[in-house]
Amino acid sequence: MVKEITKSYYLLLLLPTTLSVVAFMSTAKEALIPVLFAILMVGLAIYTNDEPRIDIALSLSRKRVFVGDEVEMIINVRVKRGLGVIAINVPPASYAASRHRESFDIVSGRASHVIFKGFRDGEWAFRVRIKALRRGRFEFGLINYAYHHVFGMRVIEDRIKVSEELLVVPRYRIIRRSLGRIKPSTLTPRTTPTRVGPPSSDFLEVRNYLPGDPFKFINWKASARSPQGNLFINEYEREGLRAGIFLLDVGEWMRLGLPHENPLEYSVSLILSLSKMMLRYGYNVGLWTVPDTGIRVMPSSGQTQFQRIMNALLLVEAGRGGAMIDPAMIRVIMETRPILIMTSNLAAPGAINSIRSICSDRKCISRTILIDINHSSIALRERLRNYGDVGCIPRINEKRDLLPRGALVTTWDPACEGVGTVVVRLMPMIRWLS
Amino acid sequence: MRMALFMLVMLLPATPLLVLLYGGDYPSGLIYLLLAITLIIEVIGVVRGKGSGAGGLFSLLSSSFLLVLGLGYVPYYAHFALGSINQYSLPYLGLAMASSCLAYFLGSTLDASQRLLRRIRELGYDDADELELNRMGDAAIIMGVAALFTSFLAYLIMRIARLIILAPLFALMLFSITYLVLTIIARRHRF
Repeated sequence: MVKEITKSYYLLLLLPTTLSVVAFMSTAKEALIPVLFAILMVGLAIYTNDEPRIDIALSLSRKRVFVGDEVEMIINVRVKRGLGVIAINVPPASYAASRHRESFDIVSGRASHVIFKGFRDGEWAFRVRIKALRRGRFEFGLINYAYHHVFGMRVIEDRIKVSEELLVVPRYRIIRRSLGRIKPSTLTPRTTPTRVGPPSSDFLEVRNYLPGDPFKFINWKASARSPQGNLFINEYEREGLRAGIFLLDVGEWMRLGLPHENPLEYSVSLILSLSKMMLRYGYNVGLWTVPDTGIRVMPSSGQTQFQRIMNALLLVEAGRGGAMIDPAMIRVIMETRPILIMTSNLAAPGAINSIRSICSDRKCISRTILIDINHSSIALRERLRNYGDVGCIPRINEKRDLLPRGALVTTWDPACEGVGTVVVRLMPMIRWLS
Repeated sequence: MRMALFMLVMLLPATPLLVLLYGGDYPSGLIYLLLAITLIIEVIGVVRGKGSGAGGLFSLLSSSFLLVLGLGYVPYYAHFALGSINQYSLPYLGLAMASSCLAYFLGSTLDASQRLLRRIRELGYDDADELELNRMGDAAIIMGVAALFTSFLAYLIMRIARLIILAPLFALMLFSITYLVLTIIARRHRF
C-alpha cells in the first residue's frame, strides 16, 4: 500500500496563522476575509481527510471457458468516508504482466473506472465482458485502486486480491469416423513395434520407483523393508499394442505470428485433438516439451489421461526451458519404442537444434512424425485483413536438407487447413507407423 | 468543467496583484515582476502536473508582504512605506487574496485530476471517467466559492453588527489560537 500525505497539516495550519499575523500588522479589517477563508478551507480539508474504507468485490460469471468464449465480470465497489476520486483497475488491466493483456480482449465495458466519492457513502457496480484469447490458468482477482483527496491531502495506492481464477481451456476437435478416412490406405504391419501398452493386472516384477510411475503401483510393503528407504513399485504386464509421445517444441520461434494465434497455440489444439483420437483407438499417449520445462505426462491410456494432457498443456509457454531432453523421456522411449509426434516451426534455425535433440543425421531415437506449423499465413492475414482474403503462403523450406532423414515431415498451415482436416490427414500416418 | 478549474487556477492568483496595481500606489515594475513570477510558477506547476497551486500561494504571500509594507504597523514605526492602497480597494484586495488562496486549493484538485487522466488515458479513455473528474472539479469549486462567500459574509457582519466591544483583530487572534489548539487536539485523538 502506498500512502502519501501530500500536504502537511502543520503547513496548512500555518496558512491562516500567517494571514492573521498579516491582518494584525496591516490593521486592515479587509484582510480578515482571506484569514476566514483560509480557516474554513483548512478546516474543510482536515475534516474530509479521513482515510476512506474501500471495499471492492469481483465475481466471474463462469470459471471455466474455452478459448474464444466470453465471460462477464461484475465489480461491486463500496466506499465509506473520504472525499475525492478513486481510480480502479480490474483484470486484465490490473496485471502488469503482458500475459493477461495478451490473453483477453475486452468486448464491452472497461477495465479501468474512475468514481467520485462525495460527502455521502456510495456503492457502484460495473460490468465488464471479456473474451478469452489464449489458453491457461489465470489468476483473476487482482484489483488496483488509487484514491486522491479532492484537495490533494492524501493519495492512497493499494491493491485488493480476491480469490478468483479463470481456467481457459484450449479448443480441440473430436473427429468422428465418418468425417474422414482414418485407416491407412496402405497395408499396415500386423505386429506393432511398440513394446508396451496399458498395464494389465498380471504381475511381472518389483522394481525401483522412477519419476512418472503411477503412485497406485507403489509397493508399500517392499518399500518399508528397504534398508536404504527406496521406493519400489509393482510392474505389470502390458496388454496394449501402441504408444505415442507428443513432443512439443517450446522454443521462442513457436511464438511467431500473433500472441493468441501462433504455432504454439495451434500445436496445443492439434495435440489435444490427436490425443483424443489416439486415446479412443486405445493408444498410450504421453507428452514432453523440447527443451525440457518439467512439464510431462507419462504415457497412459483412458479419458483421465486426456485431462492430464490438457492440464499439462495449460501450463506450457514458449521461450522457456532448461536441459534439452528429459532423461526420463529417453528411458520411456527406449523401453516402449513409441511413435514420436513432434510439433515445431521450422522457420527458425533454432528449431532444427530441437529436432536434432531426438534425431541424429540419419536416425531418430524412435519412429518420428514432424509437424512443421507454418506461421506466415497467420501473420500476413492479420496484416492484410483490410485488403480482402489473403491466400496461403507455401512453406519454402531450404532447411529440409538439414532435417534427419528418418523423420516423416509434414507441413501444416493453420490459416488454410483446419485442425480437424489435419487430424484426419495425420491419423493414417500415425496408424501406419505404429 | 476541467477547463473552468484550469482557468481559475491560472487566473485567480493574478487578482491580488492586479488590485494592488490598479487600486494602489505601488511600484508597477515590482508588481509586474511578481505577476511574471506567479505566471511562471503556475505554468511550471501545470506542465509538471504537480504544484499547480503554488502560484496562488506565492501570489497570496507576496500581496500580503506588499500590504504589510504599505499599511499598518510597519510604515508607522519604520517611517517607510513601499506603497499605499486606496481605502475603497481594500475589500477587493481582501476578496482577491482569498481567491488566490482558493487557487492554491484548486491547484491540488487540478493536479489530482491531471494525474488520473493521464493514467486512464493509458488504459482506455472514456467520457464517463472525465465526467467523474469533472464532478470532483465542480465539488472543489462549489466548496471554495461557498467558503469565499461565507468568509465575506462574516466580514460584513463583523463590519456592520458591532455587538460586543472587542477589537476585531484581537478577536481574530483569539479565534486563530483557539482554532489551532483545537485542531491539534482533534488530530492527536484521530490518529
